[in-house]
Amino acid sequence: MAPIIQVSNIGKKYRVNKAAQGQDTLRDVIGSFFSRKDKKHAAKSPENMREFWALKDVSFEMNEGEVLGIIGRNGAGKSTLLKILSRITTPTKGEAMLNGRVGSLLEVGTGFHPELTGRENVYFNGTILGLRKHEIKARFDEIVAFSGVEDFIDTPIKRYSSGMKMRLAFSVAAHLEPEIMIIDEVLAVGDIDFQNKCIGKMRDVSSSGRTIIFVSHNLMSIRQLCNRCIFLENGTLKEDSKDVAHVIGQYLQKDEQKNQFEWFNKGDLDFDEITPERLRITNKEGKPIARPISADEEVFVEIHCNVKTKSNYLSVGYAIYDHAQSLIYYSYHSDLHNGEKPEQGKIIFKSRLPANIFNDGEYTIQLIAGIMHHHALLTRENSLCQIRLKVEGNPLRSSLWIGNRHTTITPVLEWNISNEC
Amino acid sequence: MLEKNKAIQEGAENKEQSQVIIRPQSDLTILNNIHDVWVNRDIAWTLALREIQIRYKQSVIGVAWALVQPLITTLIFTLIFGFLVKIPTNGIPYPVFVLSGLLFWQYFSKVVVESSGSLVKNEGIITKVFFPRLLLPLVPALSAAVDMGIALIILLALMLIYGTPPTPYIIFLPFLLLATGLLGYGIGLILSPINAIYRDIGIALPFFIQIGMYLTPVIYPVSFVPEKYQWLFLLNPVATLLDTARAVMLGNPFPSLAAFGILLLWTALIFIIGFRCFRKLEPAIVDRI
Repeated sequence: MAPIIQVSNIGKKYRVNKAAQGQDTLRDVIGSFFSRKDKKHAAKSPENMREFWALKDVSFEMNEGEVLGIIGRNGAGKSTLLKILSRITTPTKGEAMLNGRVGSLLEVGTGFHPELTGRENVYFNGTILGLRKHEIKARFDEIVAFSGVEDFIDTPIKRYSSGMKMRLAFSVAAHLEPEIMIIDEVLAVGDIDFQNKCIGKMRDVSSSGRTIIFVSHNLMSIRQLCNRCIFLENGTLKEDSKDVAHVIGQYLQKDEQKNQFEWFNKGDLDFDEITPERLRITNKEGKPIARPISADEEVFVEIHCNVKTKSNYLSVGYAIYDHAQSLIYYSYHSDLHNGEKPEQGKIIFKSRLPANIFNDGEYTIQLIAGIMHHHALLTRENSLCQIRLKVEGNPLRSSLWIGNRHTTITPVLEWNISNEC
Repeated sequence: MLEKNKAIQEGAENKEQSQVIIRPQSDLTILNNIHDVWVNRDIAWTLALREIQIRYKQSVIGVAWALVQPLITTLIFTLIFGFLVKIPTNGIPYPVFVLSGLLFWQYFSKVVVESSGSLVKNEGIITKVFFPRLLLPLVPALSAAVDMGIALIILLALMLIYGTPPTPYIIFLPFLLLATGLLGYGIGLILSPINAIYRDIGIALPFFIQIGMYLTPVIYPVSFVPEKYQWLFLLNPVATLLDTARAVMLGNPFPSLAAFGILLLWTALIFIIGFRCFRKLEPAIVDRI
């Protein structure tokens, strides 16, 4: 049996300095039309750009009916791979062959138009996925029934909740019977019932011989659903096995080693504007903390940078994720209007991590930076400068604080009690 | 797209045959591009239908606006250029003359403006779903046809009122409209990707469109211009289309063969540049967002 998906040596290069890329492309176009290449610019442009490979030499084959889970940390290249396979972006290197129609669900409400009703959007999405009108018509009732939004099918999508949009989007994608279904972390939105319904549907889909590629940070659903698993790290394929539990184990182990309490530049990261040098957690005095912290402990995120050119728009900050790699928030030193502008030289950016906010558990702190309104340097998608923050032993704050709250954060907030008068 | 696309639509019926090869570089020719657009015309229709649905969702205002706009414009131009300036129009009542020009010009300019903005406007879709993005600049050529159709009805009514019945050649009018839409699409193919990178094109465009209207015989006939400058209109493809339209509708003289030749050259050139420009910048646009 010929493989349904054949990926050979796929690589994807991004140029991080986006402003330079724009100028360059326009020059390229003008240059290629009039072949009047400006040599000075041509020589100069590569310096403006920092290239980075989001995917390097990824190869694998898939047979019909396989359900492939892709795991890896943020920036490992999972979404890039899915985007290439669903033809949204093109690879820089390599080739992929897909023997069948692809239905991809890369984000909630993909391609839904807010002004149109659910019904109109089902047809619209169906056409874009390559179906004829009568084919959509034949499946329409089933789609609507599965999504559970019957009552709102003639309501404009803009009045839908994100959960409803997701239900409808998933339902459309699953019922259009593409041979290959590509799903990126969409199950995170729906409630537990619908998640289970989706997982059930995906099982049906795969048992009817169709192929699924599934990206999730939720290792539980990967384990439940997939009969094969790929572990991506820094854009390369680290593990590929039908033993899903084994791959997940590898990933967790790697994660353990990788996510240290301190990140420092090994000399492989450098921008025109700054060189990020260190990311760590410290106490008030600036002493590094390389251990789990307690929830009520006051700690600081410390970022060391060599600022090479002074810029009013330089923004350095961090993003913080929970154990499931969901973004909790991100913050830049320039968030405040009157924030100080860093001078040239070795600068320490230090920000107090609010105490009494985080629940017990593991968090990831990621260094992000950019020149505001101009271009990004380290984005949440590509920054590998990450450290781990472990919060332990949430103290019982009062005799009425019962056990562990199952929320991402457990802020202790100020309350005032006064008499009504 | 930068990949070859074999029988993707036929695959809807016999799915086993659809095969897609994803490659970094493509050797797509103009014919491949045209084929791509043709095979996926269903999507263009759906997108256009969506545009129309959204535009006329509050149907009363939508249709009324499409009626009022050409009427008021015709009225103003008739007052200024028909009564005050008294532009001679070779015996054709000025309102009929100017509306026949406006109809074409407004359709053309709407297609150019909207199709140049099509990639920016649909950013949300192009980064999330795959479909041939070449179709996006084509959509305005279809959706703007509704407004134009309404204006055409007004024009026919005016022609009846003024007692200037159309010539039998009017059956060629759809072809002229098609050619106008295609010309606008071609320009949109060039401008839409550039506009996605340099948004200022979208800001500057209406200004140039305005200038374009005065350089095209919309509110005045070519004969109004001193004879030694009339050859300049040969170079303006929209002028040729417009004069042909007036010839088939109002019985004006047809433009010369040279004018048609230049029109064809323009169209070919615009599409060659358009497809190249679009294909070249397309990947960059998706990755930028």
